[in-house]
Amino acid sequence: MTNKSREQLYNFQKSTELFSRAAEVIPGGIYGHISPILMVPGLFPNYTYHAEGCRYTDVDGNEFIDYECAYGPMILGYKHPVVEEAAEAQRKLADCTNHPGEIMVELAEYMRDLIPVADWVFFAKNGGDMTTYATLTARAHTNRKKIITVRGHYHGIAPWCTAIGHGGITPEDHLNILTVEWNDIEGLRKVVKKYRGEIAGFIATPYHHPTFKEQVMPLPGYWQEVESICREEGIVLISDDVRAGFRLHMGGSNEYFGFKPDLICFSKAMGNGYAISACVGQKELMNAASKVFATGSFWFSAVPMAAALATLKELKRINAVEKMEKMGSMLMNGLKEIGNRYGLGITISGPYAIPFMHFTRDPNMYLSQIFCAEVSRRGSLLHPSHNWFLSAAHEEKDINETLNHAEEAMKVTKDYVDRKAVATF
Amino acid sequence: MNKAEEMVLARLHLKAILPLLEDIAAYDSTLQEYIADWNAVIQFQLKSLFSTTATALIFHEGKLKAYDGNYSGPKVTLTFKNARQLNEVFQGKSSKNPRPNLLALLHVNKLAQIEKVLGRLEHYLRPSEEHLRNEDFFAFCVKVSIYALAFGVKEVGEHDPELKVLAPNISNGTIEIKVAQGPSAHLNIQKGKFYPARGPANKPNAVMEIQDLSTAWSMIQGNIDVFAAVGRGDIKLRGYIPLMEGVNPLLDRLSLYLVD
Repeated sequence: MTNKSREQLYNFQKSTELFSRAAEVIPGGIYGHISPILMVPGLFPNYTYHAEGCRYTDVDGNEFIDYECAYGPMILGYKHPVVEEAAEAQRKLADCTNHPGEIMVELAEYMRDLIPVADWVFFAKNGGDMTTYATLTARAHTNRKKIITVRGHYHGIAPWCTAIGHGGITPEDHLNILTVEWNDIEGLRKVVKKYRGEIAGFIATPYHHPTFKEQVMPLPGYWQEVESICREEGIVLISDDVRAGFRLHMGGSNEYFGFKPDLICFSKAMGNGYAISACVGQKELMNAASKVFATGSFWFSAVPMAAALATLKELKRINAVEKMEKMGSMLMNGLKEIGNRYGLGITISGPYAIPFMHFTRDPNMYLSQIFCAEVSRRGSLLHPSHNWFLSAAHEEKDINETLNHAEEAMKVTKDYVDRKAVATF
Repeated sequence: MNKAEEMVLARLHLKAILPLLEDIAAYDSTLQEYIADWNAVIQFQLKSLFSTTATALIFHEGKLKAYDGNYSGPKVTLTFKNARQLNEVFQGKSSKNPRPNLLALLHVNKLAQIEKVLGRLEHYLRPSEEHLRNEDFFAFCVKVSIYALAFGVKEVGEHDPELKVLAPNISNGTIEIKVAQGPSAHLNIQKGKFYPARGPANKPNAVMEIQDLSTAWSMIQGNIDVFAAVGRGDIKLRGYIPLMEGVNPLLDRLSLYLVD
């Protein structure tokens, strides 16, 4: 493939214009985790026009091979026929009505059978619904107040898990929240000792996947130690598997890492883009779970449940976990090889299905911003500061095409390094 | 505003606002005229049982230099009864003057004019629309406001009763805030302590580049949605964005302190 000339590179004029219109009527223009400020504004798309498989087209008509996958929800490919067919069939029957559909029970039974920890299942819409629900269940079960979290783990936008300093969050919102460091068993022991008898739950993601930093896997034995401490102290162990769920193991990422939580929170991938989340738990907690008051206008909608059931069955049928790992390995090792060739060391972190890369000698991420923006202008979407996602729709030809984009982008990045112009980008 | 917040505001007045007179004295002919023959050190201070919070202004042959802390040597001291009194004086809401020391008797004329000197701060930090139409004046207002912002973040980050808990969690590093082809300031953060300075940073870990003076002024006045401005490209963020994210709540809080 020949290098793209400057004229052939994507431009994002309509995206930018649309954003300017949005900023007049929507706070922040585009808010939250998909805010353009986390990428490189002007060099990434802001608005989607059409999506299918592992590709999408933005409003400027630029097509991208997508490695962000809607920040996780897309796992089988956009508009996957099996999922869409199931959703459409349910839509023809009923969606949001006075009662749940039969599909709710079918989905709960399927998840109970699929996920070793699950004796029961509770449904909602977003991951944050479920992490809050899980902490409330832990409190209801233990009759204790405090929750231990790990610094840098994201559990949603509820005040208890949003950092002080963000609008509207008060110190009182965190009165019963304790924080430990990731992979620090001794730190956890100290906190547990200090607050013995007061701690309702420990919530963490199965591995550490912060934004702007490399991902950190659990140290050998970490989760087993955590589990043991929780059992000894009567603390409810909550796995926030919202981001990683069904990409590492169909039974929950805890199966991949070899531990057994009391509660697991899922969302993102479970409906292949349809809005649904779930908290699954062990039978000992079912009574407490029933006492937590949690509901929402759309939590019982049947279409997302049908989509979720079809998604989970299809993921299992095609052994998607294995495929995503294979495609992720091909992508990340390819990137590493390209980086080495240009003398720009690359560090890969996290599992291959949810990988992240950064340049080894780039602590401030200037190179990542240049590289990912240049890849974006050529037709693959790699996020400079958030972990990436593989899907079962990615094929070898897609990975090869992305590696071609990466080769060209790496040349540009190297040029910035050689000109000592990195901070001027 | 509770007592702790009054104290933060007082620190802002002493440590972030008052030192701007140094820049203003180098630019403003009216102030230069006032202080043309001043040769004295005037220290503004708040005293408690355990500490003195002070900034001294050193006047020498028509020049002015701000000194951060308790100046050692002969000086006129103006001691405020409490943080609230200091704030009211700086905000022009009180005519109760701070208590001078005996040495001040030798400088009665200067003390009579100190209100006028402080008034030059107001002239640039709360300028009239008419004055802002002057390009050179406008550019200067933006410059000193950016300095106030950088030095103000330090006071909020280290002393705000609620937000000081955030500082230890902000990564070490240097943020540069600059206007394209315009003024700049930077803020070095080390272990929860803030070290602001005028001008560009040597090797910034993160850069906030504002496209022009007008956008910078709107940002400083709190008149634009910063997230939207970044999304539009009016403000460019590069480098280690979490540093900016760490400082962002401090900037928000700073504007609340200075809003009145």
